[in-house]
Amino acid sequence: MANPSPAPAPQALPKAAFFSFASCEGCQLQVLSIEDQLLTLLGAVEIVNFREAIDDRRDDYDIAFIEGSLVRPEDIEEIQQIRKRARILIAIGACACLGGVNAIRNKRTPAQLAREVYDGRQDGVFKTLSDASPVRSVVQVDYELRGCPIDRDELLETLRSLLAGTVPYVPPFAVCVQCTMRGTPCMLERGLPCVGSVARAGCEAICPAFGAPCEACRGVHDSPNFEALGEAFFRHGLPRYVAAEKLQLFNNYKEIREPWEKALPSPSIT
Amino acid sequence: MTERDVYRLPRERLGALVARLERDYRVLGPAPRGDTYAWEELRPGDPVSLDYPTTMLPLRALLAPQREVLFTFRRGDDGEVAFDPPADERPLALLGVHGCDLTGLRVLRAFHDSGTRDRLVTNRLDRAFIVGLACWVPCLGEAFCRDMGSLDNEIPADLYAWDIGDVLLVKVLTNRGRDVLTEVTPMEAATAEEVVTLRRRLRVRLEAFPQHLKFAPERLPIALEAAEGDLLWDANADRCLSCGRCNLVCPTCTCFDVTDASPLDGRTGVRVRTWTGCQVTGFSRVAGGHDFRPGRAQQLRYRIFRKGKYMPERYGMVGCTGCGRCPHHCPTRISIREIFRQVGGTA
Repeated sequence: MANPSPAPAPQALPKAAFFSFASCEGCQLQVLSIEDQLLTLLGAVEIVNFREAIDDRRDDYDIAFIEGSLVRPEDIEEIQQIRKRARILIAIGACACLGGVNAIRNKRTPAQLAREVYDGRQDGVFKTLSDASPVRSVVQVDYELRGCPIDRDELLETLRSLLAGTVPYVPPFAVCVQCTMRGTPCMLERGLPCVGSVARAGCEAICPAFGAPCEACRGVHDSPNFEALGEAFFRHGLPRYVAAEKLQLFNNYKEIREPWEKALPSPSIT
Repeated sequence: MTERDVYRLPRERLGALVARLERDYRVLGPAPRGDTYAWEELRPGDPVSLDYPTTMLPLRALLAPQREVLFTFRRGDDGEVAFDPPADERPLALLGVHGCDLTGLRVLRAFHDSGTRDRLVTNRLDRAFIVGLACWVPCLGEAFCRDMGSLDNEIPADLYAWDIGDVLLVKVLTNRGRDVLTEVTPMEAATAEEVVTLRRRLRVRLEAFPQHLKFAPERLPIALEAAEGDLLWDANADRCLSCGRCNLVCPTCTCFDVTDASPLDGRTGVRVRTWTGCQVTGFSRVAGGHDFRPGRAQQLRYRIFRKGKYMPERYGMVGCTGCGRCPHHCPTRISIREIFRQVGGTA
């Protein structure tokens, strides 16, 4: 390694943009809360569009970060426009990657929802698609940063990896792996309804470490065994359908729901 | 046991032992954590647990930790890359190690001694001061340490203690152990009465540790080989979650992954070794997405074969200590003891 890398000229920085669909915008706030590394981040990419942070809005970006799920007809058009402009499209957060909590409503029709939520009123209520959908159900997604909200270090690591020309690492295994390594006593053993054994890791099992059972906000891992999850619940004195209730919180978009719906009894609340 | 090697350590002298060890070592002992126990640092004056159930994580968490920096690297302004080894650590003193975990340390050493010797781990093992502790009752319902020959294992302890009430009877196993004990006690030999008490308790103890297997662990390789095509692998694997807990709580699992981590500037970084295991999803996936050991049944069979056949063949010692952690911490209670029982029946 004899050649020192010259500092890249400012105009050579890749341009990044952040876009928000149906969500709490908590993932964008996570990006802003990087604080100690924000300046390093700004030295590595030029941010040209970020509603939570800057007034300037330009459409000449290389990397588009997408937060939120797609719920309105105009969302489809907008995400297709973004896809056309961006070289790399990265979905961030449970809403964008899985449909997330917005997809809890997917088993109801828009008319049912209008009745339940707005007491049947139609005026001023915007048109909704029949399903709240993850970004990849509409356009090609290059990378996904999972979690509700996303993890700051994982965002930086993904950027570092992309700038270095390597493929960002996504853990293929269960939350239990990181939870056990941390030495956290098992939530199921404490009688708490935890779905960490089918959930994708990457979060360092932060929820169980603070006493809250896992809700699979990163989706499921690469070889989930939902029948065995029901068995694990049953053996710990929890009804099998409770496992389904936990999974529908973040993993209720049809293609994601289908495998666990087949293996577990229906939730008592939908 | 010869009475000559066994000395009296009155219970109230335990604090003096901790204080003595603290001069040269980072002293650790089992301490309550939630519903279970974990190895925590002991300060002089802290209570020492002598009747703890086994810890969730095995001792290798201290000797070959979950995440370990192998070296750091940095690129200077001249473009040259420099490598730094990890900083020196205080050696460990481990107070109250059960027979199963002592056996685990023997297997850990055999693995890290073989091939290219792993100095990070073997140095920690070499320098550790270990006080073994006899068990009077099985600490987990799933334990079968007696069957696996680890209940009475004293190696590699420096001192080995039997708690018989007001006094601990301590056997000296190394010179280092003798030196430390000499500084803490006047080296009074156990009285004839105490030796009788110990012998009686050891005899009665066998009733608390029933035998679960009808065969000696030496027969496991043959028994397993005969059961290779058995349906029991599928039957057990059906309820496997691939969560990897069995690997992570095992005192003799040694598999790890190696990755580099670096901040955004890319000029500095660390190479890190992290625990993984054959039941962890993605473990057997290699370049191009190929999986050389696909399917839960094959993966479960591999784990059991590794413990009962491959490790005995390679290291001359069985890879299961009978500690009972893997069935106890498995969410669906897949039991290595039951699988050993089942394969024993077919041999």
